[in-house]
Amino acid sequence: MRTRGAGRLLGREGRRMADAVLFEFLHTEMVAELWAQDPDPGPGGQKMSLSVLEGMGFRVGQALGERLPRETLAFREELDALKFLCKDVWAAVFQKQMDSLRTNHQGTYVLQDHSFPLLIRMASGLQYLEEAPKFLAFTCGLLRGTLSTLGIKSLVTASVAALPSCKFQVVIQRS
Amino acid sequence: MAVCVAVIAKENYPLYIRSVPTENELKFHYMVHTSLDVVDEKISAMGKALVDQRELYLGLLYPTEDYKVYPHTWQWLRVWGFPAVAGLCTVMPCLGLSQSPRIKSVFPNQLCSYGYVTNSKVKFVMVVDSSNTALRDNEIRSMFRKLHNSYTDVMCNPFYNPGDRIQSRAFDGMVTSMMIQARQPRGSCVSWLSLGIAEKVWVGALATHMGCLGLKSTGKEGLKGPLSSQWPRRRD
Repeated sequence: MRTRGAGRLLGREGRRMADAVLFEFLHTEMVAELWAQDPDPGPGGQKMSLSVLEGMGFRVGQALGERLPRETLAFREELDALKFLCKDVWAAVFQKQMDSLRTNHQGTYVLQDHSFPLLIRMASGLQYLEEAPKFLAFTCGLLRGTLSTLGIKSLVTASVAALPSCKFQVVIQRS
Repeated sequence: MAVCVAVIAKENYPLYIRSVPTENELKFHYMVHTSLDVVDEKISAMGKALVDQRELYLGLLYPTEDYKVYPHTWQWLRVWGFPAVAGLCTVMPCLGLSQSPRIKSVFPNQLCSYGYVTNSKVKFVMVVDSSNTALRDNEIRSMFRKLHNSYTDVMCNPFYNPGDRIQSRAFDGMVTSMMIQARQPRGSCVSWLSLGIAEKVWVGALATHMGCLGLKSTGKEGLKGPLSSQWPRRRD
């Protein structure tokens, strides 16, 4: 049973979980720290920070993919796994569900969030548009990690047209 | 209780396999390996079922009739008398032979293997000795649930790389608690009350004798002090 009171959520066994805003603060500091470490941001330097962030998200996603699914084997096809991402994973991490999921039925999925919690504090519009991608790297890794635990190899990229709305594009890699 | 517990990765290699220390542990490894075929069959059969009916617990995979040899030490002692054995037990450790003389008797041993698969296609296989106690389905399910929860904790451990062998002591402790009852040797325990008076005297003398021997001998491992070679261990 979940109750929302003053931003607190109860975990699945009724354990009180920490306030959601703690993760947002931690994430902001992570991005600031990993960005600031490159005094000479050549083209290779910046990409390395992004891949470090993405790698962190990947490991977290792997653990989430193990812990979150319910008791039954619920993923008969890829679409079920993507729906799980949009509903359960998003709700667990960001306390809301994904706003829209579109697919071309050939392995490409576009997940759209109209008010992404990690961007919502920054701006509402076109200000800070260049800074926005580095705040999405961790989440891309998270999606990729969760899918990898469920047995789906994928490539996840993110794009921002106007804050705080963003799109995550998931391309399934079929080898 | 459980006689062998194995955690198999998605790619069908073992992440963790542990069995009760017996003479022929390889037999359990083979049994787990052959159970994987049955697991794969069940998973593919389940793929066609409705979503609601798909469970993580796969149930009994297959039972085997396995003939196991038992040490029947007490029976031998009654036949040949205690003094001879006392002498032999003194001499044999000095010669480096650790096995006490025994005759073997044959009992059928019912080993059953049960399976469980997670959403990440990690399989748990448990081999259970059901000749003693008939374990109910619910008990097996609860054992698997405990295993699943512990495995999830291992995955969430930042010092664990997914795909490595599981070395977590917490996981080991949980598996030990599931296997602990199986470590008591069956067939070689005889109630004290069933022995005659002369036998009790001999047993007492033998026990004292063996106790004195034990204090004098130091095995290969010796005493484990704080600077033993196992420190520092990996944190878990």
